[in-house]
Amino acid sequence: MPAKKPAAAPVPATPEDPAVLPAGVSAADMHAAIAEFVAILGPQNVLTDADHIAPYTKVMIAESEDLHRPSAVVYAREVSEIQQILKVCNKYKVPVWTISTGRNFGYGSAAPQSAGQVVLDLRHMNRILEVDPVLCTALVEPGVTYQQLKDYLEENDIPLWLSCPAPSAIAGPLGNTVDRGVGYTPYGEHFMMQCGMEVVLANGDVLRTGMGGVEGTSAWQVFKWGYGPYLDGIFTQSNYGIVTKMGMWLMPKPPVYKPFCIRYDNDEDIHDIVETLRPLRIANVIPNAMVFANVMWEAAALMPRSKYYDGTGVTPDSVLEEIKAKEGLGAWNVYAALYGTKEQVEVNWQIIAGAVKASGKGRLITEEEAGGTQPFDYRAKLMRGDMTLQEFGLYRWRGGGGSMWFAPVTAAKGSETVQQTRLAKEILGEYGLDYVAEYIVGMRDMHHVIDVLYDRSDPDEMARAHECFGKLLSEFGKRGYAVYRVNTAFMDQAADLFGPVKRKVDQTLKRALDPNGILAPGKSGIRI
Amino acid sequence: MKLRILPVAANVGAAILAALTLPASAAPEAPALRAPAGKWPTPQVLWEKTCARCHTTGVGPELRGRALPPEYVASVVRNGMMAMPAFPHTSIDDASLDGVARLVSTSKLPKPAAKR
Repeated sequence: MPAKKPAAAPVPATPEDPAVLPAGVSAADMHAAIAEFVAILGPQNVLTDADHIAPYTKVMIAESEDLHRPSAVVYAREVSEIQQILKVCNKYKVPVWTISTGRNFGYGSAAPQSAGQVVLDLRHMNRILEVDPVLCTALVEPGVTYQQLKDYLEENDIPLWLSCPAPSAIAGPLGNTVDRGVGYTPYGEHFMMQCGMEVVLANGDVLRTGMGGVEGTSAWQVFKWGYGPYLDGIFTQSNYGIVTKMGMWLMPKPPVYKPFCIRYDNDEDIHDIVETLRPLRIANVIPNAMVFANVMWEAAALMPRSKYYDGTGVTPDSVLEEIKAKEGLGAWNVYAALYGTKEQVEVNWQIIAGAVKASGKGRLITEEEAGGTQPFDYRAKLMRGDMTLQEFGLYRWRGGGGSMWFAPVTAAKGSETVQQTRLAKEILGEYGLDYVAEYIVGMRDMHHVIDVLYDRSDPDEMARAHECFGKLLSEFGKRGYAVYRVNTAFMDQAADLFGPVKRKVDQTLKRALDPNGILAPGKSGIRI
Repeated sequence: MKLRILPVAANVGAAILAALTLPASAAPEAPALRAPAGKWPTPQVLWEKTCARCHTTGVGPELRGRALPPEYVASVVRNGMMAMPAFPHTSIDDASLDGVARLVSTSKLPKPAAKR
């Protein structure tokens, strides 16, 4: 029997009135705003029906979808359309939450910080505007995905590599970079490798940062700082403008690529791992954003925890020992890579092997020894900016679709990692949640990324996860630790950790650049 | 703005640099037109570049060979389910979703089953 065609919901000629309204906006004003959006964009690009809203409502954070349900979704294709949309938003004080590809999983996904905001989806703005194979730069629009950029480079035989976050295939460089996300190659600190932006401001002005304002410039994508105050930073993790173009640096494909793993047997080895490898990272012997992944992070790439443990609460240490033994995983598993000519790689490999040997612990594993098995295989892909979604395995570890990244910044010192690891385990344990963690290593810092995984279909566990996350923030804060990024449910609490003066300056900028507060109110705790 | 792909410099000499330098052939035209987001060339391409990354690697459940109703597949794609993300129309438009849902529904499980 032929398969029945799935019914596609027809797009209504005139959108119905939204099911939810933004705070402080009357139904009449919202109705008028929607009508004006339709006049600008056409009815097919202004959507309020349940079928179109639903995908923007799916969250993994431990709060009800109702707190983050958009009133409408609008699609823009041109800067001029965004300017007109903002004029309407200013007129009716309608807030707009802009997304690029909307793949901010575990940080709020595509849903706005508060209910009723209009999602401005820029996925249709997906032009790769420029790739310069000489200077190794690209200029992209918000809707460009890593997959699209990779396909473009491959189809045109351009030997440049990307640096992607773990959900590489479906996420995109602009959104990830302006949220200050990270990847795993030598270009893994993405904002450091960003160069030049075009930003639509709340008043409709179009700003080009860096060298971008200079008539006829050839340096927009090569010189970050321009002249006078450097502005790009205020358009990241913020709500001061809508970034419509972004320049980025791409890495030349090296003649030789050598990914490797170092396995460590014991939890407390994290101290010596940091002390052994930090000097090599700072000296650029290890050039990439290497990771130190713990056993549960590794195991999650292979299987759900039910393979070894079908109980509830924290996975017992005895089970973790069994997993380590049977699956051949370390308590900590380092993934790093070397890039360069054969000679460069060989020299650096000898330095690393010598340092590991001198430390008296750790077992080096090469790509040949790993033999195409997971998790090495997907790690090798990430460290060369290739497409994979293998790390979504984290979400099946306990099941239930709940995930929030708790990611405090750590100074790259062994003593600090020991303290942070102990504290995180203790707090998660109080709430029956697992310590599933990796350290992503910057030049002198590390992102201590912990996936707070919980069963979102269990209201009790969801409530515990929410409380746990709040406690992680506050207890880490008491000890001088704060996160590099946080989900939409905890943005105010995280902002408080950076002090009242920082919050006041954030607000001063907001009031100056967006006096009606129409751009993503609540992002990073910033409102007028 | 004007779209451009810049030509590659051709006069790099030293052997060590040659290994690190990009070939002169890399001077393609930039895509002048924006492709509609969400529109995939074929259901198979959509399957391979998105769905298969989880559903043939053991990360998500195996879908092939189960004669899943296409309406069900389409609903899960749009709304998400537990760990499965939701895909809006700008990622997968209705026509592409229709195609991939039918592809999944009529697929057979390859043998031997994929191993990690």
